[in-house]
Formats: sequence, structure tokens, C-alpha cells
Amino acid sequence: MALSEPRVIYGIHSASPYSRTTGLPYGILRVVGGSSMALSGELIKLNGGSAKYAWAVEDGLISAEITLKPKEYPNFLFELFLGKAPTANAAETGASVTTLTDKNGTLVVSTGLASVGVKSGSETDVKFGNFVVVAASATTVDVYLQSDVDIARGTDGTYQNDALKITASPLTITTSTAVEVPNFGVELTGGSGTIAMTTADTATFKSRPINTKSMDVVIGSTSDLPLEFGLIMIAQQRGNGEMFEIDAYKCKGVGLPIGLEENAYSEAEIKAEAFYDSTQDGVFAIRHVTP
Amino acid sequence: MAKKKYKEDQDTWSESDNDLQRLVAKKDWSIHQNDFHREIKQGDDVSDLEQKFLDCLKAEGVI
Repeated sequence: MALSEPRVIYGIHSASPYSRTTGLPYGILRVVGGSSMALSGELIKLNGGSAKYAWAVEDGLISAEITLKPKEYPNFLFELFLGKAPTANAAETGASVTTLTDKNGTLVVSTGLASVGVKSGSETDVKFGNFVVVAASATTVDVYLQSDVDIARGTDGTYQNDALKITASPLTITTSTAVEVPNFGVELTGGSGTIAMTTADTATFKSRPINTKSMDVVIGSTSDLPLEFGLIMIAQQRGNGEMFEIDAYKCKGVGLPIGLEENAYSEAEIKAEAFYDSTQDGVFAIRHVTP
Repeated sequence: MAKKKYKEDQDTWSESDNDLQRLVAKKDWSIHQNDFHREIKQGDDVSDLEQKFLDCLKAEGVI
């Protein structure tokens, strides 16, 4: 009988976290740079006297640290590692804006602005933007845009000055009248009362262009809670069909680095720890098959 | 002589009527709302503006 083929492990295919409650997968990480378990152990040595070698050696702790290196950012990563499930929004064929919200003073009031909305017929001009509306006088406002990343969508928008103002002239606000922010596909509606704003009061809103999907999430609430999860890590299938899998029953990780670097894809390096699952009476399981 | 006085009176009356109808801007101002744009100079008659814009001009101390 000849020697059997050596079992080797090559590459990474995917990592799939799953719910410890239902067993259902959260999703799959396919664009992943690595998913490794350290499993490095510690040896406790008894040294003493003039001996240059240990008198005794016993085993210490074994680290079950998992290093995940996703290069994609699906919603479940935010839920598992930052403790907050994002809101996944359906496609928006008419673009969208968020609610106009006071930032400084009181601009959103019956004597000021009532709301902001997408201007009918100008949906294709709506950009991905963060806006600040400021009262320029009792009856006029200026609008500022905090990034020009999408400023050329539809009708080009332009900055008017280095302070990121996008309105060439202050917009006149009148009672219950929708006033377009030119070239941006959105309109501000005046309050129901006699307009009398306080100069320098501000309000903010965000806009989202026509899209096939979107998400948003607010991270950092005191109620956010990173979840325990199970994790199936699968090596790349080898040329001979050989496959290798680790199923870590119970894992916990915190933190999700997001890198915005010049000419580079963001790659997170997430540290998680696999630990004892009393139901399974184990920490992880390994499967291997050579078809 | 009587005819001339009549004409002077007519002129005076005419000016008085116009003054009653005119709304004169006390300072420069501009209005920009959707497709409506108006640059107002001090001394301009703005009586042709819609009431909603006149309300603005009052609030801004233009009239």
C-alpha cells in the first residue's frame, strides 16, 4: 500500500456567520482576505537551578482567536461587530431626502421652513449629499453642500464659494411655497405662517439619488450590542476537489475597521474569539473531505 | 389763465394718485424663487410684485 495523499489546506473560500439561536446564516463573506484561527498554545515550563532545560513542561492556554479579513461590508458585519443592524432600504425610483432638522436655533417652524422634499420632475438631479440650510435674512436662505462627490449627477451643481455654498443667490422663502434648490432636485417649503426667520439659524438634511438599494445605520448608541455568533470558515477547494471546513460554534468579536485610503480597497481586520459552547461540548468542529 | 391752472391741478392730482399706488424700495434687494428673479434697486417701484413677495419686502424693511 502506497502512502496516502497528504492533507493540505489552501486559501480561503468564504466565511459565513450564523445565528446561534436559529442556525440561520447572516450571510456570506466572499471577498475576504483571510479567516484564520490562531489555535496557538502556551507551554508552562518548570525551570530552576543550573539546568539549561526545563524540569517539566505542562500545557497552558490555547488561543482560539479568529482573524477575519473581509474586503466587503455587508450589513451583518455592522450587526455582529458593531452591535447595530443597519436599515436596508428598498430601491428608490424617485430618490429621497431625510427630514429637515434644526441644527442651530429654530429654522423648522411655521415662521420659517416647513419641510424639504424631492422636486417632482427633477428626481434625476437629486445627488448623494449632506445639506445645511442657513437663514441669510428674515425671508431668505442659503444652502451648503458638504461634499461634491456626486455633484455632477443629473444637472451639474456648482459651488459658489470656498465655504461650500451652492446657492448663487439667497432663496426667497414665502408662506407654504415650495422653493427649488436649483440643480439639486430638492425643494424647501416655507412654513404656514408669516415668514420671519432668525438670521444664522440652520437646519440640515440628506439626499439620496435614484438607486437600486441603500443602507444606513447609526453606530455608537449605548444600547448597541455586538452579538455572539457561529462561524463557518471554508478553505478554497483544491484542484483535486479536497475541501476543508471549520465550524466555530460560539464566537464574539468587536470592532470593524473601515479604511478610506488613497487608491486602496478597504480591508478590515477583525479579531474574534471562539469559545466553549456547552451545548456542543466543544469550541469548534473540523471537517475535511477528498471526493 | 383759468385753463392753465386747471392743467396744473390735473398734473398735481395725477402725481398724487401715482404716489398712492407706488411702493418704492428703500434699499436694494433681490428675490429668487424658482423661476422668478427680480433685482430691486433703491427707488424702484415694486407695486407689481405678488403679495407674498411684498410680505417679504416688508419683513426685510425694503418697503
